[in-house]
Amino acid sequence: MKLLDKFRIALKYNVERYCKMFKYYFLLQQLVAKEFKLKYRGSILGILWSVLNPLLNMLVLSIVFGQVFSAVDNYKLYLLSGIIMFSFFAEATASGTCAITYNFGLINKIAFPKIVLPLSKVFLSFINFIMSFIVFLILGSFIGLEFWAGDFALILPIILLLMFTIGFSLILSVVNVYFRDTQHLFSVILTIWMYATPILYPLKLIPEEWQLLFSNNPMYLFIDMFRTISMNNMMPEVSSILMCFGWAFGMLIAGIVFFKLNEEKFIFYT
Amino acid sequence: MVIVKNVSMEYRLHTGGSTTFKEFLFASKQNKVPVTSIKALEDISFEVNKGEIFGIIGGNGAGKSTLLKLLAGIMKPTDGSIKVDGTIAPMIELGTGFDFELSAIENIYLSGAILGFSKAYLTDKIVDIFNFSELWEFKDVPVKYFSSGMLARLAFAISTTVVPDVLIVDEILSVGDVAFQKKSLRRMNELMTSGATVIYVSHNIDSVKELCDRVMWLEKGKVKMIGASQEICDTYLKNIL
Repeated sequence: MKLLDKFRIALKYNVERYCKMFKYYFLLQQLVAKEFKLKYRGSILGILWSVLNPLLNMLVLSIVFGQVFSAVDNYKLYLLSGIIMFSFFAEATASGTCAITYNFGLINKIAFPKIVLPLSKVFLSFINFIMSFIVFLILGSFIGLEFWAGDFALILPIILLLMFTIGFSLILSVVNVYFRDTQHLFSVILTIWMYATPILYPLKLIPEEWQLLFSNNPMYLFIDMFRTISMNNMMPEVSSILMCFGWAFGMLIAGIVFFKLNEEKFIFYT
Repeated sequence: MVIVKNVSMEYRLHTGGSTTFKEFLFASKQNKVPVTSIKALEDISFEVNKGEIFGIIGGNGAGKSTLLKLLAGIMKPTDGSIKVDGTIAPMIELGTGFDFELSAIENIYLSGAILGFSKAYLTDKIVDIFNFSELWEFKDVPVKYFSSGMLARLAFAISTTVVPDVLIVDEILSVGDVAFQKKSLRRMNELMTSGATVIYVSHNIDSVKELCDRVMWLEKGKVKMIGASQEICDTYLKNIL
């Protein structure tokens, strides 16, 4: 009986909390819209840049490495799929890192759930990602991407990557409050991480003894899942799906918990 | 409406600000600065009733700003509890939450959203805000092109139109030219006497005496006196002279 009461109180408390969070959905939307407007204001091609960027990147890299990795099937699409996914992760986490520190002015003046700050950065990058994803599909239909019913499953690697990225950004944004070096350090780590992920080379290229390490890189798992579904027209293996779920949920939960535990201390580090 | 019970606030001062990663890794014992703590507030208790104008007075360093931050929920007290019915927010300092690249109208939505208001509510208030600030013809102009007076007018109009259940007013803002100052003073008086619950902090004892129902006198983080505004203000004035 007592337990039931406790449970009811906890439930009521949490429902109220989530309702409060929902109130700030509008703020999240406003922040994303603001950044989106400002990002391309004044540039002639505007929003097109978010699509052109990965495309040009892919073109340059495919010209440089196209001969070297000619063994890879449809190297252009292989590259593009890796680039759009990794640049989403890189852009979102890099801007998410500074989301709290850049907004100390606000945090100092008004009480609001601070989680919307890094979240808005991730969602902004996610909009870009969705646009490059559409371009991937359109371009792909011209250069040998065969569509099949399983393509609907692409939502899986995309959503899982989004969850992983949110969790990761939340953790970084907190760490950067305590150690301002994080933002600089992380940009180096991102570069290393990118080259350590089989984006422009196939996994097969890695020596046998290192393959286990490389193939367990979460970013590679998401990218590989995406490639398997879209380019090989196959459903990924259950083990790799489970791994992706593990990384995504694990990182998201860790991120939210870590953020919530530290949220109240930010004000003392402004 | 607002119940503050045995609230204490202690700051731990990390002298030197945030540590860098290098310092974190390689700090030896002797260059670790001892953490000093300062008690900004000690055992504060009071209640503010619905529709009441509650004044807080006290010298510099009495803990007024800390108390306001605690009330607004920006910080959590080290001890004690604060209960507020409804929403509470400080009158946003001029331009807080503004993005200078955005237009006036976009900034209204943005700063309103940060205060936690819905889109429908803000849309409802937009006409009021522009009528009061007299900035209709600039509604789509990026705020960075505004003169400082125009900016202040917009900010004042927002913070006095979009009002939470409990309003925290930190000094009456004097903005714009003389005509607008008069207008804004009238608006403040209207707002405060319209039955809203207001927590008013000021160094202007005369205005506190005139506006407030009850007043709390803080000194060095403790409640010195609390009671009817006339009585407290007179004692306060006598005491400091």
